[in-house]
Amino acid sequence: MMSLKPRNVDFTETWAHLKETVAGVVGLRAVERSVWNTRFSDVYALCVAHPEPLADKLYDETRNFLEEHVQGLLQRVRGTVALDNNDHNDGLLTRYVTAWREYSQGVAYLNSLYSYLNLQHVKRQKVSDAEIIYGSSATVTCPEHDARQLEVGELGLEIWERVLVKPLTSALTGRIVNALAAARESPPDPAHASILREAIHSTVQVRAFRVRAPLQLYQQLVLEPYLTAAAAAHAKLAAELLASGDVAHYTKHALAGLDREISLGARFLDSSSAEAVRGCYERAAVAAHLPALHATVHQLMKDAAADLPSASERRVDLRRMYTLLRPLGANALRPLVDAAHAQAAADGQALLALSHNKDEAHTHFVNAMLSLHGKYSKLFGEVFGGAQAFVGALDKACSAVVNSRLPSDGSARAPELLARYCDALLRKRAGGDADVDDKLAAAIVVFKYVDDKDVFQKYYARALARRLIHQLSASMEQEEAMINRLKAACGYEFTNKLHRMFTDVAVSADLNAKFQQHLRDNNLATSTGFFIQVLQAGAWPLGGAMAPLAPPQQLERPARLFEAFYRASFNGRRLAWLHHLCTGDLRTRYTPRLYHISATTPQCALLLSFETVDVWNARELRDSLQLAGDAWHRHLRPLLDAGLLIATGDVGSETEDDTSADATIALNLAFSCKRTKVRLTCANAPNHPGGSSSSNSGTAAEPGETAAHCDDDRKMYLQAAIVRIMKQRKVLRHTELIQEVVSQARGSFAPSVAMIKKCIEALIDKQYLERAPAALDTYSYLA
Amino acid sequence: MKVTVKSWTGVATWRWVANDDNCGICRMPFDSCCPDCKLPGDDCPLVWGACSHCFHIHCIVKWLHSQPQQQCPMCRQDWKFNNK
Repeated sequence: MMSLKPRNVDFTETWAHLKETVAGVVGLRAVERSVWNTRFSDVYALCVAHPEPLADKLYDETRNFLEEHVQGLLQRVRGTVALDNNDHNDGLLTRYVTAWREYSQGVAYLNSLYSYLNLQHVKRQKVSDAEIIYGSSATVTCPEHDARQLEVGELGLEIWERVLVKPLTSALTGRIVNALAAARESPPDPAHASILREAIHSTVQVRAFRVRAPLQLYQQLVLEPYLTAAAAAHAKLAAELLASGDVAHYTKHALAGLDREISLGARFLDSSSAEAVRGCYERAAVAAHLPALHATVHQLMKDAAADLPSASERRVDLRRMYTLLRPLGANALRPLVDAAHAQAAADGQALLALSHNKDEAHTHFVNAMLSLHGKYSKLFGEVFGGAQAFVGALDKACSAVVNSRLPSDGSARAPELLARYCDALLRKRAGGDADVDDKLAAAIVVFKYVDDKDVFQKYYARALARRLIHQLSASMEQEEAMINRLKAACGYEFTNKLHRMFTDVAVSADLNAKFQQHLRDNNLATSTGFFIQVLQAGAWPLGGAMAPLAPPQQLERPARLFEAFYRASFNGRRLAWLHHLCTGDLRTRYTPRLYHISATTPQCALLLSFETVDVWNARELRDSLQLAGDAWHRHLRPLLDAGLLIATGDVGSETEDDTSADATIALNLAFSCKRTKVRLTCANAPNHPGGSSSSNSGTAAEPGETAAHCDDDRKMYLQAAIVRIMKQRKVLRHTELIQEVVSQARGSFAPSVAMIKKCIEALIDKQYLERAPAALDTYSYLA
Repeated sequence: MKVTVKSWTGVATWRWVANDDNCGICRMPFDSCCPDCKLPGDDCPLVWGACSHCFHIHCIVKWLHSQPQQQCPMCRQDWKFNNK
C-alpha cells in the first residue's frame, strides 16, 4: 500500500520509468499489471509532489514524447511511395489505418494511465461546455489553443492530427476520393472497404472530443473534396442518360443512381453527411435538368391516366419522376402539380360530355364525377403517395369540373343534378337498392365540390318536401342520415330548415293521433279515412299563395272538424290548406272494374262533381269549383290525359286562359286501364313571367326562378354578414371587408365581388355603414 | 255513388295570427323566432296578454323578470297572460 501523502519526488528518475511504460502502452506492447499499477502511482506521486507539484512538467514531457512518437509513425505511414500520384491502392491508406488503429487505442489506454492527472490537473483548468458555447467574459481563449487544457487522450489525438495528418492531407484526400469513386462503380472487397471506412472515420474520431466544429477535419479532408468530385460525376452521368434515352430511361437510372449514392454515403461516410450527399446528387443530376423534365410531365401525366396497357409503366415512370423532384421543393414540383390538375380537369370535362340519356342526366353527372374522383384519387395516391399538393390539385380540378357552366346560359347545373340524384335515391322504388347508403355517402363527395351549395339546398329542400308530403321516402332513417351528412359537410345553418321539416312531420303524426281521439270522444268519426300534415309556413319551400277552392262536400266535413279542433288546441294560429298537395284516395264504382285513384283535392272535386250528371259544361264546372287561372288546367289536364274525363271543344290550354262557352267535359264511363291503381299528379306550373298565379307543386320549378330566389337570399346573407363583420370591427378597409365576407360565405356559395359591392351600397343607403370621411376605401359602422 | 272517397290526406300550413307583424320587444317578425332561439315555431311560441298585446314568450318573460312591476311594455297595463 503506497502512501498518498505528498512527498519529494525525483522527476527525472520517475519520468524515465514512466516514459518506458508510456512507449509500451502507445505501441500496444504488453505491459505487466504490477508495472502498470506502479506507473499509475507514479503519475499520482508526480502530480502531488512536494514541495512543488510536477504535473505541468509531466504534461509537457508527455507531449514531447507523443510528438516524437507520432513523427515516427508518420515516417512509417508515408513509406516510400510518391505522395502525389493519388493511387488509392498504393498501400498508403492501409498503412495509415494500421497506424491509426494502434495509436488511437494506445492513446486511449494512456488516457487511463494519466487519469489522475486528467482529473485533478486538467479538469480544473478546463472551461465548461456551456462557457464555450455561450461564451463567457472569463474565457476568451479557445481551449484548443491552450494545449494544457486537454486531457492526455485528447492531447494525443490533437498531436496525431497536427503531426501526422497535416503533412499527409492532400495525399489522404486524393486517395479517399479516388477510392470512393471506384467504390461507386463497383463495390470494393471487404478488406479494402473497411480500410476506406476506417480512414474516413478516423478523421471524425480524431476531433470527436472537441466541442467546437468537431467535424471540421472530416469536412475539409473528405466531404468537401468528395462532393465536388461527385457533383461532376453526377452531372456527367445525368447528361449521358438524357442524351441516350427518353425521360423514362432517365428517371429510372437517375433514381437508381440516387439509391447507389445514398447507400455509398451510408456505408463509408459519417452519418451526419447523408443530407449533403443526397443534396449534392439532386442538384447535380436532377435540378440541373429541370426544364427538360418539366417539358415532359404533361405528356407523361396524360399517358399515366390513359386506359392503356402501357399506363401502368407510365405510372411507375411518373412515380420515379415525383420521387426525384419532391426533395427539390415546391417550385420543382409545381409543373407536375399543374399537369395533374390540367389532366384531371380535362378528363372530367370529357367524362361529362359523354353522350347520355337526358332523363338520366343526374345519374350520369354524379357517376361521372365519382368515377373521376375515384380514378384520380387512386392514381395520385398510388403515384404521389397522396401528397398534399396533389390532393389539392385534384380538389381544384374536381371543383372546376363540377361548377363548370353551360356555354348556352351560363348556369351551373351541378346543384340541380345532384339534388335530383339524391331525390332519385331516396324515393321509394320497386327494387330497393341495397347500396343506397353508400351511394348517398358518395354523393357527399361531389357535394363538397359544389360552389352553389345554397342552390343545391333549395332544390334538395323542395325534393325533400315532396317526398315527405307525398310519403314517397324509401326510409326515414336514410333521409335523416343524409341530412346529417349534409350537416357534417356544411353545418347547422345549412340544414336547420331540413330538420324543421322533419320535426313537422313527426309533430303531425302526433296531432293526427290526438285528432282521431278527439273524433272518437265526440262521436264525430267519419267513414272517410283522414290524415293531415300541418306544416310550419316558414320552413317549407312551398308555394305561398293558395288556390281558392270549394272543397267537395265529402271532404269539407273532416276539414272543418279539423280546423275547429286545431283552433281549440292552438292559440293564435291560422291554418291554410294547400289543396294541390293534398291527396285523396278514391274508388270508382261506375266502371266495370274497380279502380283506385289517388289525386289532388281539386281533382277529387272534379271527379266528385260527376255524381249526378255525366256531362258538364266546362265553364260552369270551373266556376262551381272556383278553380281559377291555371290551377284549372293543371288539375284538369292529368284527368284528361289519363282518360278519366273526355273534353269536347276548347277547354283552354295551359298558355291561354279561355275556356270557351260551349266546351263540355264528360265522364268517361268506359274508362279502362291495365293497372287498378291510377296515380294522378298535378301538372307543373307554366312559366308565367309574372308568376302571380298560384304556386306549383314544385316538381321542377323553372331554374331561372330558383336562381332569382337564390340571388335574393344571397343578398340578404351577404348584407347580414357585412353587418356582423362591421359591428365587430367598427372600421374596416374595403379589401379586408370583401375578404372577410368571402371567407364567411364560402360554406354555402362563392359570392361575386360585384354582388358584395352592391350589398355594401345598399347598406350605406340604409345607413348601416358610411364611408369614412378621411379615407375613401374605408367603411365605418353606424350603430 | 259513382265515386267514393276512401281516405284523404290533407296538407296545410300554419302561421301566427297576431295583431302586429313584429314582436314589440325584440322587433323580430312573429314568423321568425326571438333572438335567443334558432328555430321558429313550437319552440318559440307567442303569448297574448289580457291587454291583447302579443310577444314572443321568451321576450315577455325576460321583460317581466327585469321589471319591478308586471306591466305590458306597450300599454303599461298590468300584465296578465290571456289564456282564452
